[in-house]
Amino acid sequence: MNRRDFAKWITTTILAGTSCKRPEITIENKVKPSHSPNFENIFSYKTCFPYFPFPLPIIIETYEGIPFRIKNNFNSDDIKINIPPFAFASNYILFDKHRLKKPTIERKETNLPEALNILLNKIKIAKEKDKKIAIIATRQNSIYFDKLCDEIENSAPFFEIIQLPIFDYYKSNLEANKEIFNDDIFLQPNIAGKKMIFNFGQDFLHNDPFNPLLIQQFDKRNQILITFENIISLTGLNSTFRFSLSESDILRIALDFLAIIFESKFNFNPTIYLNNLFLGNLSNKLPEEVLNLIKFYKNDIVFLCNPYSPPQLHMITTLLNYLCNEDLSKDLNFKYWISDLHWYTRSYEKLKSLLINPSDYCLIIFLDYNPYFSLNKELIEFVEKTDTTKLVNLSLYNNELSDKASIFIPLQTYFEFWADREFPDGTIFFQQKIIEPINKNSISNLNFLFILRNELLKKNTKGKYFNELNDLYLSFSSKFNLKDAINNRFKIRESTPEKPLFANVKLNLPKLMEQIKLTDNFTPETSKILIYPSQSSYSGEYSKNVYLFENPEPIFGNRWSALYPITNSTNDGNFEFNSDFLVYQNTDYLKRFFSISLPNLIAKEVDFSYNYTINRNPLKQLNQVFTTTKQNHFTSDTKLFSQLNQVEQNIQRQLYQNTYINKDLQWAMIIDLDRCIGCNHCILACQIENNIPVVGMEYAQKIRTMNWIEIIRVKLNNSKLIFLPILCQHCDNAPCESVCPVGATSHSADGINEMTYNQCIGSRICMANCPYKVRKFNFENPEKVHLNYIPEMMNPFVTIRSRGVTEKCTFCIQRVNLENTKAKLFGNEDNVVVKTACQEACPVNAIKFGRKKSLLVNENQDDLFVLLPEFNTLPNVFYKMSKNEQKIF
Amino acid sequence: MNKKFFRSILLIIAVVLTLFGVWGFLYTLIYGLKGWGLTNRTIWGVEIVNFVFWIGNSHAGTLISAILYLLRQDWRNSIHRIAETITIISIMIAATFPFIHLGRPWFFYWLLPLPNQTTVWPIFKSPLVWDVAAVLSYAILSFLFWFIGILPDYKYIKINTTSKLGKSVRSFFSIFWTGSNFNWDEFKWTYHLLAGILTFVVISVHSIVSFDFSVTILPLWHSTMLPIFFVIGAIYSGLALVLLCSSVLNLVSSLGEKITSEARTNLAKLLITFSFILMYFYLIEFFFSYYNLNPQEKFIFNLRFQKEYLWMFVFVIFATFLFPQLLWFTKFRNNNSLQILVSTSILIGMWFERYLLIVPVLSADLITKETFFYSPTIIDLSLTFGSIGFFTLCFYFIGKLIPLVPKFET
Repeated sequence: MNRRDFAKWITTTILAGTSCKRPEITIENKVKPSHSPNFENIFSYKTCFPYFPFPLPIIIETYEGIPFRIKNNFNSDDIKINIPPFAFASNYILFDKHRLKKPTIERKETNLPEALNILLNKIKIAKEKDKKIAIIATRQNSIYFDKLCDEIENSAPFFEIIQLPIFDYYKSNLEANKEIFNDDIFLQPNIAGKKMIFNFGQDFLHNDPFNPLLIQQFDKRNQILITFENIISLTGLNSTFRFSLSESDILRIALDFLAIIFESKFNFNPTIYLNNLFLGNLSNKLPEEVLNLIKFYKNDIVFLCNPYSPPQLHMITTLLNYLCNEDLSKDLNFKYWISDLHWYTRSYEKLKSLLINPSDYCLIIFLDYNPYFSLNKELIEFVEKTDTTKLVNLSLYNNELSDKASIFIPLQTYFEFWADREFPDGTIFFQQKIIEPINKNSISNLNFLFILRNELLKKNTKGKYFNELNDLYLSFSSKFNLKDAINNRFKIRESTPEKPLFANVKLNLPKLMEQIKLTDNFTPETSKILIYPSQSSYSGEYSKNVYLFENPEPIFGNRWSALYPITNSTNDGNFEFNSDFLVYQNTDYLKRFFSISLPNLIAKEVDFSYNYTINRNPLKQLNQVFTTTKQNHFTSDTKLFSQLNQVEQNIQRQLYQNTYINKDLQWAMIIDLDRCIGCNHCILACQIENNIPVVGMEYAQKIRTMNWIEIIRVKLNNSKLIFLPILCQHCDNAPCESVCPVGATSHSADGINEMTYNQCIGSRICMANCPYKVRKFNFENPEKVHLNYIPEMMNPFVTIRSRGVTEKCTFCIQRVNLENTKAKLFGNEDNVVVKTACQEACPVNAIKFGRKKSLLVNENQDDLFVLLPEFNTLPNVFYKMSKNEQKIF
Repeated sequence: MNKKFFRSILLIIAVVLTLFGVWGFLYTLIYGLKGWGLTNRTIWGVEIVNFVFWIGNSHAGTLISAILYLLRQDWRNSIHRIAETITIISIMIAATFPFIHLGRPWFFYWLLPLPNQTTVWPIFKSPLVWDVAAVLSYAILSFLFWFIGILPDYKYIKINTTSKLGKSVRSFFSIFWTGSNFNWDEFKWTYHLLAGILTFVVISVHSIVSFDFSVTILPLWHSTMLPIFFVIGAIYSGLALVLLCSSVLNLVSSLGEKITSEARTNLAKLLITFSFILMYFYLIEFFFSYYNLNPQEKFIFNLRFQKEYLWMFVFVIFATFLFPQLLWFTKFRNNNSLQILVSTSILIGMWFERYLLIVPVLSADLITKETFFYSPTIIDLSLTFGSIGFFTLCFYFIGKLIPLVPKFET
């Protein structure tokens, strides 16, 4: 080699080096690369989510016809209802491959018309044989559905339509109210505006059917919540005082209350009387401070009761509420949520006749109802015994029931058909058909009944049921217009029907006391399994939604399958998780909430007399205690807040000013810790909004979850918990920015810490240097790691990150940019209002987002603090906590 | 016969480890970092430990050849080429770790200060960019130093001169070296000059590597002590590696007989000195963490007394300080097998010392004060052990090609 060769070699190397690939703005996601999202191909639909006790008004946004985002419709007049997680993740079941199944007859796949033909033929044969046919359907809250049912029953007397609620939480309450009011009604106390709430185990912040309604009424800051419970629940953790008691002790405590109220109201001490009723003494005495509180708030107390607890406790709760509210008889409707349950008793009578004489029935059609999920013990035993040729199942998914049934027909999701849903106050919400059915071989439950009725009445209407639905509402009001009805509130009844009032009822207290006495269930707890349905997946249709599994369980922060110990019922309630209660969360189709009380932790010694619905022995999973995805977010460090109020000082101490940030335009967030109840809704909303991958159980165990928000539970000295959501703090002196070697993370002029995914090479020094540990790394390409990855469903405004790239909270920059652009177009740049996804989802309005300048002015500066002020990062996420609370630490 | 047996055993182990490492390397390149033990909390792991460890090992070469050369220590003559060879191989291995450690390694050149036509500007305030510059310049200078040192010996390079490649290699060398007086004159001052430059570089390069940690704001890392601590640790482990290599050479090869026992004894003496310097830094770290009032720093420092790190900490103290004290005794100091044992224990101890420095800081949550346990996977281990195997193989083949003990100086 000579010098010329050497020069050539050098030149070619340099040329090759410099002609390397530059970072291009490539579209990593496969969401229709030909189109970019703009105002023209984004549509919003007002519709409702068919939640059982009441429909939930929502807005669904579609991009090129496919829904990608579900929002709370706060504008629907005065009805303020929170959207639970399963509702705003519900669009992910649309393309679920488990759902897109063909109908089966004797486990052989067919198409829809054939399956319907065979079913109708079976009905004809039944008619000829003079046998009965039962349809067991989920209660729909739909006037048109009821009308179709009535027409079918009237035209064909051999048909019996049994409407059942998804979870049977009416039973105890109804039994109690029958004793008191002699009527079929359901009562749920209204907690809005009450100063003090005594709660006998109702987990209304998490696992309760009335969760969407009550969570809005609850004000953690101003209400005193005292919870007595036999399991550990989110409501308990958010209580001012929490007492961990056994079920029988809760009843005794309730009676104790009754005695106190009797004493103060009627100058009559019934303690001796009660003691005679119950052999033995009232074991647990109420603490002095609680008694003082009762005397102080006398007329501002409300009592709640777990819907699954025995009717006796409901009776006592109703009595307590009655006695504590002098004017209750005047405005019962205002203070109570009242539902008419005549349909419920009627259905149960029919169900009884079905269970007594099963041989009279030759066909049992389950319409969207799965007793295995609803934990209907009688029906499950019935199904196990019945001949499989008699069973027909129509459901969204292939479930245990359809494995048994001879005919299975898939149903449609609520996106795919029109329906009407009645709110109990007489308001009608319309459920729109947003997309054409994706599974062509599926049928909606309304359409099924429509076809069935036409067949029975021998009507030759080949039209669609939609016209009939429209005509039905025209008959209520001649001016009916569907478009207006969707947009505005549509009422068919001016006022709620007359309901019995307390004034009309003569309370026979001694007789009621006798009723309460008839309880032999309340022996001290032995080995048994209490089964509570979990509201986190609502019903079977959403239990396959991976988003709901990935979302941390609010109490312990578990993800995916988890078995974890829970406090002993007789403990003092200081959250010690090492004794003989276990909670098991099942991941398969039967996802629900178990509370298992065991004599000790050795699995073999447990007798599962109650274990009729569990396919797998949950305690086999005991070994998994050590492999669960539990992230122990509990911390007892009280020094966390020791350096509060340094916000101002830090600004003075700052060495250099970040000159790029325009202080007028800077964005900031305030998270109100006095309000936050730790429900984890924000985590899920963020995940859906920002296309954050669902990583699955294996990765979750390796702590590779991608959530941009994490909620830490901080245990304070007074054994109270506060929930601390941690997200990117968007620091003014961002430590991540100064160390990035390629400038992939940088600061925008309006103070947002931005991330350029295409420029990132994945050195992860930003993650190392972040003291808050909020940055996440993509270990895998989204299509490989993302369970249930459907490119069409992704938010088109947010790119999908490739392998080897770091990501974090962006303050929903897509929304910020959208609003900024709108403001520029309309010349309204001073008042740009942006709502981040977490803010929208927060049921208690704990998150505020806006321009820093105006946001901080409205707040008391003493209440605000930032995390880790000693690092001088000057975060723009402020945490708010009232000064009195801070002093407790 | 005996030496050949040892040699072949060593070689077999080296080949197996290298293949194991190659598997891990290819897996990482193809499937990304998912096979590693990293979590979203502990985001740097064994690979960064390996990087720091191998960069550290490379330091002794320069120390012995450059600094001792300038100080006219003639006992270095028999081992300086071994030390330089260690430097070259160590840098080569060390540089691969940050490369595969990137999330998107195919874009590694965005870190280089190339012309900005790609619209990527390396951000010069980032320590990683300094790192690239420091390691690159150290690699280039070390290579030049090693290369120039070989020039007088090029006739002894074992190359098949009948082949075309061999001929061209020979002709390449002969451009530079004819053995004339002019050549020797130029050689002397170039060697001298490079030794002078390298003396600065050897200190700067590991300081800059330590800047990866010390310019962050994390407690315990954010310290002015870190650069000198790193340099001392690096020289210590590098000396141990040189002693290990020369002692093992003595055991497995006839070449080892040419290494003077004086050199090895002096290395052992240096090890004692550096073990005390290092101990001083351990103590001062302890003092800093407890004397200052930063609770975060105390918390992070205390992590090493936690269950999962305590055995590591005890082992580090034992292996890097207590055990090397045996070298005080002349009998032990001159014992070949004890030299191997002590230097191996120092190397393993120094590896764990780096682990203790890097992993606990990242696995701790500063807000909740909880730690997320990090454990290396089989791929992490394959890369670690593979690097050892690769080092041994490279050392063997380079030893085959060039005279590891300089001919012209001894």
